[in-house]
Amino acid sequence: MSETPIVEARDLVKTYHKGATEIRPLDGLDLEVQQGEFLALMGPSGSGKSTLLHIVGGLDKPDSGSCLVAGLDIGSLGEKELCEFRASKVGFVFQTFNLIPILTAAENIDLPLRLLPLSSSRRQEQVALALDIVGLADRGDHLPSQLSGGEEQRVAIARAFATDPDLIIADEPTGDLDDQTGDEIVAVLSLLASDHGKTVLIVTHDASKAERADRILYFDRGRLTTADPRARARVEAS
Amino acid sequence: MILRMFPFLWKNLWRNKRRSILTIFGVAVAIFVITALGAAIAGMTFPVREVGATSLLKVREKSRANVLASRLPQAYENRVAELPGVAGATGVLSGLAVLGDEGVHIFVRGVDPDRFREVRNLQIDSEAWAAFVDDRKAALAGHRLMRRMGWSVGDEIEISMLGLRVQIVGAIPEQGIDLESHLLVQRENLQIAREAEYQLSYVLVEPAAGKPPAELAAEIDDYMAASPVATTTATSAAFAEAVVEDFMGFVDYLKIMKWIAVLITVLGAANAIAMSVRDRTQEIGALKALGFTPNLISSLVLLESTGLALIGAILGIALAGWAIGSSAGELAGLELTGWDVALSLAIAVFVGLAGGAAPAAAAARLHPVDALRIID
Repeated sequence: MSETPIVEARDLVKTYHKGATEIRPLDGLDLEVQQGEFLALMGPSGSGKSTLLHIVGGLDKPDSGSCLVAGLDIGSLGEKELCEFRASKVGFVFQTFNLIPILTAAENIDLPLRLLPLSSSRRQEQVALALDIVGLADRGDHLPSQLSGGEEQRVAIARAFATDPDLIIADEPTGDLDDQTGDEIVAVLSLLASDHGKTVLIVTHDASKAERADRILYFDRGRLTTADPRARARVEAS
Repeated sequence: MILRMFPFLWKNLWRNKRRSILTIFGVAVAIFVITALGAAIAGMTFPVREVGATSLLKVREKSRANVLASRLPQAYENRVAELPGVAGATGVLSGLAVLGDEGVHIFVRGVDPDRFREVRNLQIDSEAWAAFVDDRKAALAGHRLMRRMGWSVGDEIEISMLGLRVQIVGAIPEQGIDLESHLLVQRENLQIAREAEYQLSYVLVEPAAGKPPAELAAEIDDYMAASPVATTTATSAAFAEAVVEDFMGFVDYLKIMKWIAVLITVLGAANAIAMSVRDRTQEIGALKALGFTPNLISSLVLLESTGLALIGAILGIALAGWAIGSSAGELAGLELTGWDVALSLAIAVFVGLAGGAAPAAAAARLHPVDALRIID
């Protein structure tokens, strides 16, 4: 692991208004993540996990505090710079896969590569490598409708990985899958961190999935309660 | 960047085939209507535009409301020709006849061959012209008229309404509606047949170089005012306008219809594209997460709507071209010009951009987090 954290958040605050009610999913959160770490984010609904992922992934900005990702301050980036950041530094994996139904698996993976200054042959290499890593080397010409849910999520992971980002962000990637397929998906994400040096952040409600991470961050009302619930469990037991 | 997205864009066009085909069909029908109406308007106003390009004057009998009933003494031909400011003058006797089972109306013009050819600047091959000049029973037929009536050179034509029997010795090639659709016969022949010896319908006058036609028209009428038959002189364009005057209100109505067709198509295309964008809200959120900029997303939506409109336009133009092509032989002035095609394509681009503008702006504005409907 490098000494400079890939993610460094200080006193992050994010507030929403729902009618007259103010919701504060992030309330002074501090966090450091090292390159190559595999982190699981857990906590009840509304505790701020996904909001943190959106900010770290450049989909949203904090109201106050700072969030440095790969050396860039998310809060100070403009719209265009955020788009460039998302295209080159981050890969997203969603609960509902969000593959483009009219494109084949390979074309889906190729789509974000077209935003980068890469030659056609280089893009083809990247697509082939990504498909190989997720174990779908022979399914590149299949449409999403011809794939199982687990395979669709593997394609989504390959799409997130293909651009060679620093960070891979997965928001409940196993939420729509059965338990065994979910385990396989988490194994693939874990592999990206351990074998390919990617920093992987996943939100999950499933403790057994979170167990595979290097660290678990437990969220409660917009803050981290403890860095590792396993440690907290041991403290509570004693 | 947009070029790199072309394969994605092309597949997007056919994502919802039924909706795309209906949109294309809607645009195709509208463009067909617009193009066909444009050609019809052009056909109706063709005589005015055609003769408007010449500076020739027509001198006719003043007291007649109907231009075809005008009668002038043949001597007027030379009297007008001798006036200062006149380069040439030729007397014409006109007749209208109905031919065949279909009741086709044709104009027959009795002319003094050499004088008419000089004033009207008639272009025709020398062999046909020699045959026309040599034989009092010869006739020259406009190429459109020949096609419409199915005549050939050498045919003998009986025009019983005018008591005339002529032989076609040549076709008048393309050079103006008044020549291409009419039958030219020797004046003397028509005068005898109609028992109108030494009579003319009008005198066609070519003003001298530099002489304003309107000024000359007034001078001719002033000069002829004291003669036994007073005259009215007008430009050929004014003469043609008088003939098609009743059509002009109808032409305005057709133009309004044309723009209503454009408006309906814009609304239809806008609705189809807006539905398509709404269906893809979550996908647009995912594209933004992948790094697609708002500009790129709105450009893709606009290109999609413009692409559909252009495909529709090409179909509509092809349909109109076919329809116009199959009637052009009979109807003078009805043709699909490069200008019509360019205008239709421009309208299609406008339909695509106008129809796609609001959905494109909406797609570009979507916040990725809202679009992905991620609820924490």
